[in-house]
Amino acid sequence: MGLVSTPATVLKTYEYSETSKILRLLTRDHGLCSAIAKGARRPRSRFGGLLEPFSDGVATFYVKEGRELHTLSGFELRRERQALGRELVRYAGAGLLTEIALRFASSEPDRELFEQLGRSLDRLVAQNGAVETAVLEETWRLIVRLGFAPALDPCSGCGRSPAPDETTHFDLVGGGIICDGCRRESAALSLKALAPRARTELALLVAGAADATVLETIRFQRNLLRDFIAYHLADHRPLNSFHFLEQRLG
Amino acid sequence: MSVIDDLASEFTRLPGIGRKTAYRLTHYLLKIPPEEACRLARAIEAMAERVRRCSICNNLSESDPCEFCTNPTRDRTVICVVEEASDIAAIDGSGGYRGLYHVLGGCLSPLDGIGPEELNVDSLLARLNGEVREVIIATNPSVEGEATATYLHRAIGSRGVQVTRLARGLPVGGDLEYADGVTIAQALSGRRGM
Repeated sequence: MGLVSTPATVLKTYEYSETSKILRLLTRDHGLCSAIAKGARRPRSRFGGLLEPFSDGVATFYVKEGRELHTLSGFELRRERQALGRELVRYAGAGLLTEIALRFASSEPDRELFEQLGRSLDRLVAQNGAVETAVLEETWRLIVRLGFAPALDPCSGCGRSPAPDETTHFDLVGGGIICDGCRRESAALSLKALAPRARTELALLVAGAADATVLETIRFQRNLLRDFIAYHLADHRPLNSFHFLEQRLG
Repeated sequence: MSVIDDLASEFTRLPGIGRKTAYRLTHYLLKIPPEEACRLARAIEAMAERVRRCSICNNLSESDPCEFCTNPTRDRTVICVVEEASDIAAIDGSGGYRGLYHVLGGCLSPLDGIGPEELNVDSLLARLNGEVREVIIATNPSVEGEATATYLHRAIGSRGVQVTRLARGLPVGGDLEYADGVTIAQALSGRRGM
């Protein structure tokens, strides 16, 4: 295929040999891929401080068929997000978003996923207050984009839309809500009681409409998101960055 | 598995060594005089047996406490915090620092599951005993290094100790024309009066 250029976000970097770095990139046109930046760790490297996690730019690399590691020839910086390192909850949130992209994006190009990740990271940089809400909301946006949106209405058992003041249950296995009536008939062990307020706030988060709201059920939402990711995306194992986020939030 | 395969397999466990390089190193060792190969083996064995972590600063040393912590000529009012023991050689080799060191053992990394609990932060805080007036945070100039510095600043800040961070900007002898935008922006924001 030869030399290609594509917008890319640096998800993670690894030191390689004495002078090089290996990058995991989410690219607009080539999906998730890896590239080696030779000499990037030399003090006077042309890559300098460009190849930092969360940075956006246009990556130019040589692609060889059948190879998984490409050779980076250039990276034209479009947006650096070093500010994320200056506040630990933002940093943890950005880590969570990039870990989700690393673990669950594919090598097939997904323009919308790429652009969503960029918007989500931008929001974490710019968010004024309610940072935890922003982290949860942007995480749900990525999950929805990856095709794992939970079904919040109607009940996945009987198909009835629950009343606004009705307590329902979130079925982790089914990935949606079930009403109290269906719960009695269900043998599912993966149910979490969903009070009306929690359901309303979950719907706001999943729809991306929570904005800067300080959520009343924020801890519940955090636990639910952690369990949802672990069950549906991560082979029942919580993500490292989610654990880091929880430690920062207490 | 033959002895050759066994050694090559051990080499592949080292960072940056793939299968081909491992076999190249193995065959090199087979070509040199046996006493040279044995000398290398003894050096590795001695290192593994004698080198340990300093119980004060977590530096790697043959003695505990290490040579920096026991040296009476070092300035004991300043501690330079580094990510890895190998960073000490770079800073001390510069000749511009005569204080003490503290090795964190890494930096905060959500993706790798490294939080403050995995770093040597508690032992650093325990060293801030009144004699120390300044802590220089010399973590790498990366997002991870910045996040680690931010955490340390918060953790140390309330103890009445001055916290400073290594300056960031253009390398000495570098060429402005070829510097990247991030480095130039850092140099501009950290400019000094003359």
